[in-house]
Parts: sequence; C-alpha cells; structure tokens
Amino acid sequence: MQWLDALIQGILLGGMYAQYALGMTLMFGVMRIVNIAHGDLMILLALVGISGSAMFGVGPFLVIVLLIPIGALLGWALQKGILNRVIGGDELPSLIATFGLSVALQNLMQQIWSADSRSLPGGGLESASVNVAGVYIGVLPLLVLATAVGLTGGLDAMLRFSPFGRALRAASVDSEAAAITGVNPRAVYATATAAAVAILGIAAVFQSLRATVSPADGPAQLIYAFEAVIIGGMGSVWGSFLGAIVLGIAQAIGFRADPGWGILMGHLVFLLVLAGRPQGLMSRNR
Amino acid sequence: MSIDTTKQSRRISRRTVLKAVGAAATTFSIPTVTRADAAGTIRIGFVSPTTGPLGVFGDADAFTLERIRALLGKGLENHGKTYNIEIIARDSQSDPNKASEFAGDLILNKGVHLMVPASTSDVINPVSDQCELNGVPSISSTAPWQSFVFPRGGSSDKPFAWTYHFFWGLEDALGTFVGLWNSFQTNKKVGMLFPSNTDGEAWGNRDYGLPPAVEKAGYTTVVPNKFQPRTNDFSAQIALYKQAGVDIVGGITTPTDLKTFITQCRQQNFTPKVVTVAAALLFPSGIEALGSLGEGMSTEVWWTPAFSFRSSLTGQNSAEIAAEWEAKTGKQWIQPLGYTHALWEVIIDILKRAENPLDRTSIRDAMKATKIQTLVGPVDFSSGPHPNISKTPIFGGQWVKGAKYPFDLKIVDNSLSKLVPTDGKLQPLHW
Repeated sequence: MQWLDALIQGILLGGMYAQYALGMTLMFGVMRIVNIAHGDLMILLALVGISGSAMFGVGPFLVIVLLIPIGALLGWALQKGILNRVIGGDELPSLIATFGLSVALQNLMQQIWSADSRSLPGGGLESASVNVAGVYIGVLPLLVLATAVGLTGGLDAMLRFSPFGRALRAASVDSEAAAITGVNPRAVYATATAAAVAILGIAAVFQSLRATVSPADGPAQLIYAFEAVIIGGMGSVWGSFLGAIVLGIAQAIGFRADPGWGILMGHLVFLLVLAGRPQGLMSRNR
Repeated sequence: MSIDTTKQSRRISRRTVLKAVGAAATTFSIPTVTRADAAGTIRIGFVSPTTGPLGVFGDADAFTLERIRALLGKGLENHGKTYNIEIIARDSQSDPNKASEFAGDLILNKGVHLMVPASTSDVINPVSDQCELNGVPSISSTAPWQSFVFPRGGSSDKPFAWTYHFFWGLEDALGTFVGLWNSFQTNKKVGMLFPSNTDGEAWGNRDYGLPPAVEKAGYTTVVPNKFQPRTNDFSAQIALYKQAGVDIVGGITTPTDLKTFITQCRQQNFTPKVVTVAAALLFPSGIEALGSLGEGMSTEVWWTPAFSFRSSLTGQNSAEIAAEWEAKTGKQWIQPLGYTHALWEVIIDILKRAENPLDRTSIRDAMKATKIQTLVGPVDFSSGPHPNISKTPIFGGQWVKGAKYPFDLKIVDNSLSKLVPTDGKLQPLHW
C-alpha cells in the first residue's frame, strides 16, 4: 500500500516535470539550443501571472489564458532578438547567451518584485483531493498530469503532421538543405521558441499554485527538465514525457526509502540511463 | 552596405555604456560625510545584503541607515567634543565571499574605526572574521548566537578579542516551541521537519537540537531524515506522520518548502492541530504565500510593534517605528526592523562612551562595557552565555487574520521572558 501510494505520487510528480520538460524538448531536443534561462522564463511568467491575478482579480484559469500569449510573444522575441544571432553549428554561443540572460532576468525580477516568495491563490483548488481506495490523489497534481499528457500529445502531433512541424524537423536536421527547399529556418525557430515559452506559461501557473515562486528560483527546476529530455531521448516528445515520469517515480520511491535520498535517486536513474542507453529510452536514432 | 552602417550608428556604443555605468557607480559610492567643525571623523563600515535572495533583510537595514544618517547630520558628541560620522555602506549581494572582500577593503583601504556587519550569518561571519584578523571592533545581530560563536572557532573559554554580537540562541527558540505546544491539550506527538542545510543540521541535531529538547518536555517525536531544500514531494513524511498520528508539526523550512508541504498535507487529509515553523514564517510575505492555509500557523518572534521599549535614539516606541516603515515603504512591518534599529542604538551609545572614538581599542573597550536598554530589550555583554554575546528575549507568535494586512503576528507565548505580555493564547489550526 505504501509503495502503491509512492508510485502514484511519483507519477503525479512526473506530470509536473513533464510540463517543465516539454518546452525544453522543443528547444534542446529538436533545435539543439541549450536554454539556461528556461527556469527563469518560467519564474518571470509566474510573477507576471501572480501580479496580473492580483491586479485584475482573475482566477488561475484566466491567468493561464493570459500567460499563453505573453509567453509566446516572449519566446518569439527571445529567438528573434537573441538566439537567432548566436545559433549555428556550435552549441556554445547559445549557452553563453542564455546564461547571461538568466543572470540578467533574475536581477531584473528582483528589482521589480523583490526577493519575496509569492504564490497564486487557487481558491481551495490547490489543496483539494479525492480518496481512491485509501490513496489520496490531489486534484491539482491530477490536473497537472492531464495537462501534461494533452500538451505532449498536441506537440507530438504538431511536429509529426503539421507543415510547421515538418519545416522545424527539416531545419533542425540540416538548416541549409531546408532553406534550399523554401523553409526559412530562423522564422521556424522563432515560432518553435514561441511555442516552448507559451507552454512554460501553463507550467508557471501550476507551479505558483502548488508552491511559491521567487526571482532566484529558476535554476532549481532546470536540472529536472534537462534530465527528463535526456532520459527520454533527444528530440522525442513522448520520450521526454516518459523521462519526466521515470524521474518522478524514482524520486518518490527514493523519498519513501529515506526523505534525503529522493532527489539523489532521480539523479542516479538519470546517470544509469546515460550509462546504459545514452541515446535515451525512446530515441530512434542510435 | 549602407543598411549596415545605419544599423551600426543606431547601436549604443560600448564606450557610452561604460561612461554611464562609471558615472552611476561614482554617484552611488559617494559616502555621506556629515560636516561640522569637528575633532575628527569617525568612519563606520556597514556591510548589508541589499540585493540577492537575502535582500529582505537589507531593506530594513537601508531604511534604518537613511534615518540614522539624518540623525547624525550634526555629528556625534563625545566627552564634550563633536566628531563627524562617515558611514561607508557596502552591498554584500547576499554572497559571503563578497562580504569578506568588502570588509577587507573597508579595513585596509578606508581605515574604518568600527565595523557593522548588518543582518544574516552570510554577512556577519565573514565580516567578523576579517575584523578579528585585523583588530577592528565589530558589532552585529540577527543570527542565533551559536552560529556566530561556533563556526568561527569560538567557545566559552576562548572569547573573541574584537567581535561582539547580540541575539537569542537556539536553546531559546526551542524553549519557545515547547512553550507554544504546552498551550493546549494535544496527544504530545510531534512530527519534525528539517532540511539538509546549515539551519536544518543545527535545529535537527540529536544532541542539542529540537528533538532532545522536545523529548525532555515529555513529548514523543517522529523525525524523518532531513530533506533536500526545494523538494517537490513530501508525501513520504506525511505518510510517516499519519502512521504515528501526530498532532503537532514543528521544524524549520523555507517558504517554498512549507507551501509545498502544507498543500500536500491538505491533499493527503493530514490535519495536525499545530504547525510551528521557524524561518519560513518570519516575514509577512512567507505567510501570505501560503494563502488561506497559513492562518493560525505559529513561529518564533524576535520583535513586533507590541514591544513596549522606547528607542534611546529617537524616543519612539516600536509601534511608531513600524508605522513609519509602513508609511515609507507601503509594506507591512518586518521583524528585522527592530533589530537593525537596536543595532544603531548600541553603536551610537558605544561611540559616545569611548575614551577616544578615533581609536579602535578604545571603541572595543567601550563595546565590552555596553549596558543599554534598546528597542528589542537590554543589551549587556557581561551577562551573556559567552563573553562576546548578549542575549535578547524571544517569544512565541501566531499569525492570525489581520485588519490592515492579510495576516497579523500576535505574541501568544512568553514562557521564556516576561518582558513583553502575551496577546491571547495559541489557537488550534482550522483546516
């Protein structure tokens, strides 16, 4: 019973990591841009959402509706203004640029919002739960997981079947060849980053409902997003979802063994996958 | 080609930026020198975390510093002579290495007579170490005295020569927790929550931390192993508490971890009667982040506007100082405010009494002999648990629904010190 509970809590935790990992899988997995500011962008969106919610008195679902276009705009501007200038065969320039952006964003946010911890009032939603045969399942974590499944499915379908998805895959495999066939790689990248940051807007609302956010919090969750993408396999959308769930379960089981081991257990599973199956669980290319 | 050149000219050149930055830096770093026909200038080094994660403490420091500078505008009187005061402030950026660097610069290049490491161990310990090394007197507060003495290699028979500190100690905080929990009938089972960081190691220590103190008072404890800060899942701890049927949860966490924990408690239908947490509930922002679940949570209290002492500098009482802060910043009062004010009370008292306020040894001797009633209580180094320490009182508080702000902090336990009366008793949590 104890372990069944741990397994369920682990899957729910994985749903949260999947939300962080989805934007990352587009940027890191498909476009090979290492975005160190991923976590900081989420915190920025969360703080904007919290301020917006207080200002206009709107609930969490309306905040999501508000944050998706803001996130998309932010992502588009990020790619157009910064990342498109440093993108190329080498991954190092984008890493350095986003590292600088991360530091700048943290300081900017602290100037505006101060170092206080903030959260989004959920009107009881965040603490509601249902009792299924003796195991309590939180409504909010369930919602997070369901949203993650929906987003993963949507993103995967978009990459597979839509003209934009084809263009993006083509551009990331060989941007010059793609350009010859009439694809503008930079425009495609801008749209992709817009989508990635828009997804972060959704993750931001859930994060500020279940915990708190403060300007320096960004990098802490970044590592889980990277791990999920790598466990699942670079470029595979369902892979990074699976990676996130694996990470969540590993942590939850670890916590039950010893509350100090959970996070370590997650890292160990990540290292194990890296050693045994470096291409990731669901990657097609070896 | 022509397009390229226009682009170039529209950009801000590196030189312009550097010039602007340089100009801004000089403006900020001009020290306030208070001018008078004076016997000399006393230089005070002031290091505080103005930016970075500890910036909340720095806010109180900056607010008080501004008022002190105005107060010292006419200089300081000492044995019939007037001295100018120059306060050289530095921002530690919440980084202990930066704090140490600034302290060295202030001592060696600026020749400060007295050092004030304001707020948090990350500033106090590195700066005090520099002072001890270079023979500069320093005075500080807002960190439990154990974390000032022991990590720096001090002990009761090995006093520091130059560095002094006033605050309460771990034993007082633990006593306050027990006092709070004795307020009403429970099953005396306590679930503990400690992170694996410096605070958690001290509070969770099995020899001198919270568990043995609580067990001695007749409680049984459930102590899960320490968790990593920013853990996203507390269901393991909650399962343990539920299994043991605990009525009370106590420990030390950050606001983020507490929110995650409390939200999950509610989800898992675990509803203890009392939740008492240090650190996370220190600031109004921490309790507000918990939302409605925060109502009724209890914590340790250093200072509130209910303290009845008057300032030896301005004659104001605590409520008036809190009101001034709220009017100026538009934010609710915070606990470090009383301490940062008291710190300046002690500094100015020392400088007034020193035989020669331009001599470091003379200032140190005056510091040692301090006996003053401040906003946070009496400061007197002859009565502390260690020759460099003076202990100030601590109380137990509960956050209740507020009138002007979302939550108000009420003193509900004064079992360790009767200096401040209680305002009601601890009430059980409503889930």
